[in-house]
Amino acid sequence: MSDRRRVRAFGLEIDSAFDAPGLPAVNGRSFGPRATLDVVDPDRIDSGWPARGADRVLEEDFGGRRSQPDRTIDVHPKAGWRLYARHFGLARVSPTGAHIECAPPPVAAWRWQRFLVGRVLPWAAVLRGLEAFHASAVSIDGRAFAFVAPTGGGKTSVAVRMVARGAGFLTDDVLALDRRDGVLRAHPGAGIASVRPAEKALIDRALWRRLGRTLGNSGKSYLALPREDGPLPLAAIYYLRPGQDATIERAKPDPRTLLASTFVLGVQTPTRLMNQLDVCSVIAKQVPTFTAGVDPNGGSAALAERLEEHARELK
Amino acid sequence: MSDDLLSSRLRVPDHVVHRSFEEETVVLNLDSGVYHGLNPTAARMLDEIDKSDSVAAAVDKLAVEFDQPRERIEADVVALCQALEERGLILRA
Repeated sequence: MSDRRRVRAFGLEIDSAFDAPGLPAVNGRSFGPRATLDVVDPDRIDSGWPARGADRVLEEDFGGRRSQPDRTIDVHPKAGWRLYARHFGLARVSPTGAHIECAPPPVAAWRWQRFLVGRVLPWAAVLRGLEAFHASAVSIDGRAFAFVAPTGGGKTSVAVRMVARGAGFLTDDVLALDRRDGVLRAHPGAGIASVRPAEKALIDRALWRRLGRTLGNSGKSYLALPREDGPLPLAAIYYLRPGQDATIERAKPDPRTLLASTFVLGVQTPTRLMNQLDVCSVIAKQVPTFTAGVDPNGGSAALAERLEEHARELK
Repeated sequence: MSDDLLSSRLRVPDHVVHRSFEEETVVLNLDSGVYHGLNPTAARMLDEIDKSDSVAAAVDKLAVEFDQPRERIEADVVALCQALEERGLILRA
């Protein structure tokens, strides 16, 4: 019997070959499609990758004189998806998202697993039929509340502050959604929050320790914290905007805003595009959306208090 | 060209899907991945065009529904059909 465990993230029930912080082993019923997750040698991925017929859907350079880009994503109709990120390693996701192989560099596990939970698993989830949004989310009274903002816009800070006030943690940065019996379900991501230094500096040390375990620091502080175990109905979406007044206002569900809030934009198959539009349309019909002002300098504590009150009152 | 169009039966092809939002209908061409937006009036027109035996029949119904002169509705529907056809969002059956 191999030493494997079942973990759950982004709506996937994952048969994993390794332990990872933020991905606790689970038992019992399944909530979504299955996938396998293995660590392999990079040669295994590259030797099996076709020399021809692949398309590059993403190439990013962050400066410096290097012969290779810092991040790439390639797709091949039979080989699947090859995702590379400098310092984080290489991964291959099968065309259906059912099989995931990671070839990490020789760094601490929590470092390369940021790439796993931040990009590779959401990619597989979308291929398996989930829809992904660039959002954090918490749970209150058995319902999920999502926070959408651009990078650095306060998603994580608001979620962590709400967890500090007693909310359950659902996900940081990527929220996976699906529909079951006409209800939009918000799935837990990884139990890891990446907190900016400015926000961490505003959090009392004792409170920080109570929230969870610091995995490490790399620009941000990576905090492993308890996470909801299964999906919850999505009750509201809050679009965070800069503002010092911590006000919350009802917003009209705009299709452009909703579509622009999705994640894993490199997957443009007809099936995904239709699912993406369907989920956005269901959100527009069923899920109230709001704007909420978050103080970019003063932290998220005041807004978190208002949001908690608002979420509890929302019918 | 307008007469030819008015007598035609138009259909939304299988590779085009549309979903309604509060103030807009989004039309997605799955082949190209391009999204298009329709206001509620244009979306209602598309629905009627898609299920009518001819564009002229759709115009008749829409003129009654919108309580507007038929000529005005016909001009709007023809312009919409031409715009949708150019983008591959409707086809002649």
